[in-house]
Amino acid sequence: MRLFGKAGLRNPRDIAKERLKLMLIQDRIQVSPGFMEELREALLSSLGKYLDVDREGTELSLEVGENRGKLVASVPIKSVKRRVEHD
Amino acid sequence: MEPRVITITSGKGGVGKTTITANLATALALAGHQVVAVDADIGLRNLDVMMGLENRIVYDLVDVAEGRCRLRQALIRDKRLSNLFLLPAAQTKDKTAVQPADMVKICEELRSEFSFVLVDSPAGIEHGFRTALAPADEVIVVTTPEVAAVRDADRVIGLLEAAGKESVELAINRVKPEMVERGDMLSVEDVLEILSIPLIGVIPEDPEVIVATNKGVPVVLNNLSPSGQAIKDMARRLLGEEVPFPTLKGKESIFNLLSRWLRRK
Ligand SMILES: Nc1ncnc2c1ncn2[C@@H]1O[C@H](COP(=O)(O)OP(=O)(O)OP(=O)(O)O)[C@@H](O)[C@H]1O
Ligand SMILES: [Mg+2]
Repeated sequence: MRLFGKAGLRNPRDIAKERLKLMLIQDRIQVSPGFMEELREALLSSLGKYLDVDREGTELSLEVGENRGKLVASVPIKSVKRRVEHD
Repeated sequence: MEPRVITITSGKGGVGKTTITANLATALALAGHQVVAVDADIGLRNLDVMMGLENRIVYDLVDVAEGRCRLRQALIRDKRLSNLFLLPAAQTKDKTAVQPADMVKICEELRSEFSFVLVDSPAGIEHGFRTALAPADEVIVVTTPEVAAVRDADRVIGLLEAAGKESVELAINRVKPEMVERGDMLSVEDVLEILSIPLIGVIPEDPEVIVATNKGVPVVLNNLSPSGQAIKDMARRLLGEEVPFPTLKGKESIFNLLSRWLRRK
């Protein structure tokens, strides 16, 4: 049991900073069209060096929770490559 | 030196764009430059009031854009400084009366007479904002250290980047050092860390600003005011001088004094 929750010890300045950072994660992604698509492409192409993945079945999402942003990726693997393909 | 068109903008309203435009223009004029301040906040003009020139207006920006007068006829010379001018906004007309292309053309003409053209942008990210930005070589984004203002500033900075504006600098206004020290407010460092663009000015909260606005005398003309000093520093930085940012500390806490004293031992 935590007697002093994290929030109980933080001052308004820290809370403001944390809230702002979270807001800006969402704002910046929302205002740049194609951001998630580009990120998805970048992720798939670097994963492709190690794994043969199911591109269509790949799901990428951004979750902004209580105190941080989280990128959640679900990438179905078809097979693992025998050798890492360096560019 | 090449003439410079600098637009002062913010996103969120009421953070101090007009105050900074009036004072920066005055400070640059005090330093001997030919300066014109352009009020691009059509329908809500304020810059004339802050400069104490509200009863001298004959023509305005919309009259110039619509060809009812020549640019020269709309320019108002400052009461105190002969090298400082104002191009006032219209108080009654529609926000969309001046197009970005008109603004570019007007500022082109102003460049031949002035070394600094400061454009006071309206709040928001709509038509008036785009019009005020169109002619800008440099942009100063004003924010206060408050969550909503910083958030809107971030949005504006994103738009400026997308528009290809290369010189975008930050001015943080209404800083209250005592509140920062108590942990009640974002510090200058916090805001900089979040927005990550170069800093051009840090202006403290100062009751003299309100007194100055009431009198129509820009606060930089008051040698005793801390905000006036901060905006003069900002002008010097614009002119290329390295001016350190004074550490905006409030009254020193016992703890700070004690730890410094202990360190000296
Ligand atoms: N450093 C300061 N200390 C105290 N008061 C200030 C300071 N800066 C601005 N103010 C006050 O804040 C109010 C808003 O300032 P100002 O009109 O310059 O903001 P603005 O960004 O131009 O607003 P708008 O978005 O409506 O055009 C004014 O009443 C002004 O006196
Ligand atoms: Mg204003």
